[in-house]
Amino acid sequence: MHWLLRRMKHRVLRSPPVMLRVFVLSIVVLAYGATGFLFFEKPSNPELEWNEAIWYAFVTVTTVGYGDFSPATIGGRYLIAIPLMFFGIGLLGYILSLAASALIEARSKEIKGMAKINLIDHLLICNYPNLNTIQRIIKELAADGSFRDRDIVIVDDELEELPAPLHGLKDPEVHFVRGNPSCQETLDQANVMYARDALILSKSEDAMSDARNVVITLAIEDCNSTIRTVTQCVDPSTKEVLKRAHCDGIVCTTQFDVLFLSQEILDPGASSVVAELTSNLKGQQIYVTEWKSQNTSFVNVANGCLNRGHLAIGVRRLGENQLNPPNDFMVRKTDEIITIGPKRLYF
Amino acid sequence: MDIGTKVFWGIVVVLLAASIAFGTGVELRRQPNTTQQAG
Repeated sequence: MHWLLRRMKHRVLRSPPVMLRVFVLSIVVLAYGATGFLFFEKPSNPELEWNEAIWYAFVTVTTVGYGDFSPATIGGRYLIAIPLMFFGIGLLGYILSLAASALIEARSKEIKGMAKINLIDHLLICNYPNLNTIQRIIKELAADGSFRDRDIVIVDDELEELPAPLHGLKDPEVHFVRGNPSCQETLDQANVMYARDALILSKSEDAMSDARNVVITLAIEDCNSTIRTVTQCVDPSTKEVLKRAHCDGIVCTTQFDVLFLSQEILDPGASSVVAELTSNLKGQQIYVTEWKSQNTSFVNVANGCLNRGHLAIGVRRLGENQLNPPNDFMVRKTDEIITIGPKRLYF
Repeated sequence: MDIGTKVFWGIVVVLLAASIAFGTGVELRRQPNTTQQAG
């Protein structure tokens, strides 16, 4: 303890922190101004008291200069008032510049992805494929009411700073952490422990993107097992590995391309229907909502949905879809109902 | 200790010494008056 105190004392004396320097200098300058003013002015103005001298020093150092007290003697003017004015200007300028540089540094750290994220329930977007993809994802998420008041944190090791169009976005706010998303240190910086979802994207130019995404999924699930991870993969065979890595949602976008193209040949317009159903920006959307109610037949659920402007098209049970089930299909408490409607439905 | 730190502590010591000297001067001047009034 004694050693620690001595060491601290030694360090403070040898290189005092900036804030301590400013504080100590302000105190001694105020003390010098107040005592000097009283020393020189009291003989000619016996009414002066300590509190008035301290007040005078404050008013002069802060460059406010009310003028309610002013030095009349030569000593008071040239030995006290003038040095006090110069110190005041310097000190005030220094304090303001310190505050400004601290603000700029904090902002710059944030933009360059070096700041620690202290958010909760945020969405991590791992990997930055391109600005257009990120902007479209943000737009889609922002259009859904359930994403309100949540922030997005982009984690990438190649992006140098957060692109200008993503600065200052409100609802959702976008933050950036620079680093490898599979690295523990980076994930800690992005506050993965308190994140609700993680979206792991593929980079089209990266041939190893699937392998990278498996590693990122494993790292995230290892840090926070309650997080909901949705991973994009290019090769459909990666799905199995991602499942084993406890990935909650796997989207193989190349598979969609093939399906959309062949469907469009067979049923012209089908791809635009699917596009509208999956976009939050226009028309009706597909919603998957937890039933959470008593066991009942699908026809009852469908009628209930119809009364609320939704069309029930199926049931999702244990990760499997039952589309257009028979009317007597029993919906269980743990099932999810797949509906099409204008806005999110809550049972 | 770098030159900046030396200058900083120098200014602090000088200003502190001046403050103590001024403060002592003010109090010393005040004391004879209070003694006379009391007498």
